[in-house]
Amino acid sequence: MRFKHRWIGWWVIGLPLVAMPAAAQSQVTGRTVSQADWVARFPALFLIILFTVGVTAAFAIPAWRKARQMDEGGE
Amino acid sequence: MSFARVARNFASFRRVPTRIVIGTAIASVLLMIGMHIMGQPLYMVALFGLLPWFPVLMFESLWKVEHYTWIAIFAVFTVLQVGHLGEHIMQVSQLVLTTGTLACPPPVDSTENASRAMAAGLRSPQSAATYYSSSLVIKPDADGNELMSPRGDMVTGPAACGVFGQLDIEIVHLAWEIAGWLVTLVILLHYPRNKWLWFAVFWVILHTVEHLFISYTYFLDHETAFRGMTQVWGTLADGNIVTAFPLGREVSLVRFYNVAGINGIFARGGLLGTFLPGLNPYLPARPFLHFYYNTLVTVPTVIGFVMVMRETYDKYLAMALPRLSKRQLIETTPLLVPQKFRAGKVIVEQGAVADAFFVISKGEVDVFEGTGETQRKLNRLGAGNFFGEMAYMEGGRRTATVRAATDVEVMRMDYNTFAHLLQQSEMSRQDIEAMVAQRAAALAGI
Repeated sequence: MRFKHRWIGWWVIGLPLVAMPAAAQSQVTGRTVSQADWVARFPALFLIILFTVGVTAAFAIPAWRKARQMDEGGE
Repeated sequence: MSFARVARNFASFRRVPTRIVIGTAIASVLLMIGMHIMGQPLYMVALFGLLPWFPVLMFESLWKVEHYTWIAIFAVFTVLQVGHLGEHIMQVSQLVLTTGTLACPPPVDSTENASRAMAAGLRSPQSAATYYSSSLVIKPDADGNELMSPRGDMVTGPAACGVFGQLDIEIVHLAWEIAGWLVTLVILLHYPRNKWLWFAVFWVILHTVEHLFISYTYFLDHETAFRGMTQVWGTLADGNIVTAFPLGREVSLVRFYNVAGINGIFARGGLLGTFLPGLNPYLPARPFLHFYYNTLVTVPTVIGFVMVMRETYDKYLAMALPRLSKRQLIETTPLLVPQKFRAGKVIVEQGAVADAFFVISKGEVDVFEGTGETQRKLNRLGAGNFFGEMAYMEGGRRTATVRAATDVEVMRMDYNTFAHLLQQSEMSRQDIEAMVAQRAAALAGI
């Protein structure tokens, strides 16, 4: 079966490349954190949010439906 | 049925005998006193105080899960969450109410830390490392050396990491958070109309995202390109009480986690504070933010559990009398008295005066008619079945002997309660009458 959402795979492949910039950029004493460093980690954060919301929805949606049924059933 | 009565019933020990509970409490207190006298640090005193309770609470929890199923699981989870919140309250208290230092996990009196103290002339070269965690920390100043008070004393306080500071590490935070998140969702599936659980779920999502991201920067983000200042510690040991002594700071190349990732998204120095620097000073530091998160998750969890606890009823009572209403099950459950019988023991004897109805909750019983050589086995009953109803319906004395075929637990209901129940539930009365007719036929040999 073909996976329809292959675009997700590009994020997974690109994640290590984006999140860990080339060592050549660092100096002996290191650099201070900038907004660019955070932006480089946005793909990871996006995936984490997607994962968390997705798993939560997998439980919450059936729970919501069950609550509606119970309300309609007058329990 | 008053809430106090429901709560008392739920919290009471049903499997573990009272003498064992009292003995455990005494052992716990004695162990804590003993550890304190031995000069052990707080986390050791607390650990030994809790240890005797683990088997007791485990057995009791299993009984409650067997009888009350999901409500008991909810109860165990709520207790664990309250304990977790207790650690956060302890940490915040150490920071706010004492001169606590955020050095987590606390420096260990390792060979390395002890050697540094020796090299600084603070510790005897003969003293071996104890490998205990620091209970006390001398606060460092901006340069990482000892902070002096206006009176010229070193400022000393606890390591602000809760009671069990050794557990203040990212893997523990991640594991606990994921477990709490998933268990809250599973409980929500069973109690989907519990509004407090929905409120808790919202905050659990935010908290989970925070910890997943922090853990990502800790475990997977290996870029070591940032300028970091690492506090150097030496450790001094006075018996088993270890004090961490600040010995300056080292500049080194560190990872993103050390300079920013540790703060996550909404804490001071995290993502939000980096993009809104004007807001950053007003954002809570990580210990406080995560205290708020845990409060917003745990308090509604507790309230949600209390709401649900009022619906507790015994599973085996429901199996035995399935046509009782939920209200009747809830009101009757606290009136059941668990009793245990070893295999072979007679529970009720034919001809004896009867005063109770029994629901089997564990094991199996054999039902016999007659005595001596003429005794014949009528039936074997297991969990969810009942006996003792015939004497009530037909007046006075036991019509058969019931003996435990295996180790058995029964829930005993006195006849006053049984009578009240049958008065209130016509359908259950019909079920009992039908069973009496069936068993009477068996007695008559039909």
